[in-house]
Amino acid sequence: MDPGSIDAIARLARLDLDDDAKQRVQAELDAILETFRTLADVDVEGVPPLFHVGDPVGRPREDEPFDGASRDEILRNAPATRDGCYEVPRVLE
Amino acid sequence: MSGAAYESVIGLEVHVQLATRTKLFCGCLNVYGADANTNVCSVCTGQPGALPVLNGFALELAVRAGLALGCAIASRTKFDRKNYFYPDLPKGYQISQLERPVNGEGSLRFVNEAGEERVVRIARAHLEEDAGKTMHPDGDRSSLVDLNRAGIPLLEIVSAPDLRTPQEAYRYLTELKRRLRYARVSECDMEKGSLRCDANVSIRPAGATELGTRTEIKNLNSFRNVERALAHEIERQTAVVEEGGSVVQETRTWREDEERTETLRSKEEAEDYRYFPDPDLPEFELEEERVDAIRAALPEMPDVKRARYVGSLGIPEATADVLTADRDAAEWFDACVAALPDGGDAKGVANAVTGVVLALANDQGVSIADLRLTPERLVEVVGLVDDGTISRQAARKVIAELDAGDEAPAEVVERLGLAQVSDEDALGATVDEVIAAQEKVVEDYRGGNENALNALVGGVMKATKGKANPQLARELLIRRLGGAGG
Repeated sequence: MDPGSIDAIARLARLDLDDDAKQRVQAELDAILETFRTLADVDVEGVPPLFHVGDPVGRPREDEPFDGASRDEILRNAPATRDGCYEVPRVLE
Repeated sequence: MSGAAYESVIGLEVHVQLATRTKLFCGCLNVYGADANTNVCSVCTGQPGALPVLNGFALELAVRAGLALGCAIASRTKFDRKNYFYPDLPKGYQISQLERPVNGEGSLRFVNEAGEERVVRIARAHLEEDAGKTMHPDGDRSSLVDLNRAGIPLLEIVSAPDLRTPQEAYRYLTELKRRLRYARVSECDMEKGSLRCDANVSIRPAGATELGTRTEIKNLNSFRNVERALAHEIERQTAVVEEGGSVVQETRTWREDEERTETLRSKEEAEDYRYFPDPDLPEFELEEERVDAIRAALPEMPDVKRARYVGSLGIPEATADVLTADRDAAEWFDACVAALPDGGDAKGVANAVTGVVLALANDQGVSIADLRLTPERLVEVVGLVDDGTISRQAARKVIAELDAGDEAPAEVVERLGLAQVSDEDALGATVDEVIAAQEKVVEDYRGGNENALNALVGGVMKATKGKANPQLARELLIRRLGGAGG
């Protein structure tokens, strides 16, 4: 995997990696890709894709309300709150 | 500018919130306007370990919409994760559908601004969850996030790039909204955000088959703004090309106050969403019998209704358009037609519905379906007009009274003394009095002034306190004064 791809993936994942970390990650990703290349070589002609190993077909629920969480419970884990909202660094100029 | 040198190519992405009681993957309420973060739970706020469970009714509404748009319905559908970071997306991904959307290709038929029938292909219509709402208070260093909207079921309806003018885009949206409202899939209220639209547009030399570089316009908050933003963007792209430049692929935002579009982000910053199948959700089957049952429960669609009204009921096209604009109005009218006696006056009933009943509902701020007035009663009132018992004017009063109480039409006519004098002998005496009293006007009429006759009819109406049958009064006057205009 080339350094440009590592930079792109790091940016997408909002990770700020130093050069050492980039090299380490590059080696790890190369190994992962190698494993997937092995999988990709397997002949699956005529085999339907499998997305889940559990129940193949889901059972939807009824459109019935349940008691969710209270606002206080939910906001308790937030680093900052204001006016009943999550407060985050400004995302619009 | 050489108007015919370029043609524009437009595709629309429309998001509608589905009219469920609860969210797509949890039982939190799907409502508009609640206090911030009061309809939230561990699932829709993305708490660790919380798992989504699909709302079956949302799936049904998605199928209903697909059927209303003539889409191929998938026999199996599945969900994928669309990954990006934004504060209103608590999980860091949106559950959406990439590979196996509920609805595949379909089409929407409408009449464009030139009166031509157009068929625009629908590429797909898939289910996904809405994001939360981020607010940016003025002059503040923070943004505030409300997750009530996070997890509300959305259907994203993607058109093929088949639209050619901003006006066509407007008409496509109008017809799409009408169909979705008929199918009771969504309220499609842009002001409340239950319908949102992004537009993709490019230009190319007229007659070319290759697509030009497109831009995407966001922040469109009304159908009119979609139309206006597209017109401005087409003008901008045309100017760029005519000056020898080339259009840059980017996302632009519509500045309504300044009537222009401006760059939001360029292609280099375009997201890479890294879709993959959501391991938390299995596939879902849409059995043929179930889809057939949903199809069978769909109402008659507006274009079919309109054709029936015009073709077999003889209703004028403009009236048929008003009747079919809204499903409640059309079904109320259908109930009237069902109550009509054989050979009854469908056209008169249609005029009463569009001219009086809809205004009555509008004044009260309610749906026509919620009026106290019933279709059966309206048919009776129209019958009273047709047999000359009451005038059209009086019918308005009767209709309003019927909606305010539980009387029968004949009782209202009796109580308010609205019955017309249609008896020739009774009216004849009044006509003679008016002729005797208004010599000057009679002279004018005999001198060839047609309008003078109206004044005389008015005199008869006044003398009878509006109860005279104006048609009969006119006939009696003409008969006595010797022919029209002397």
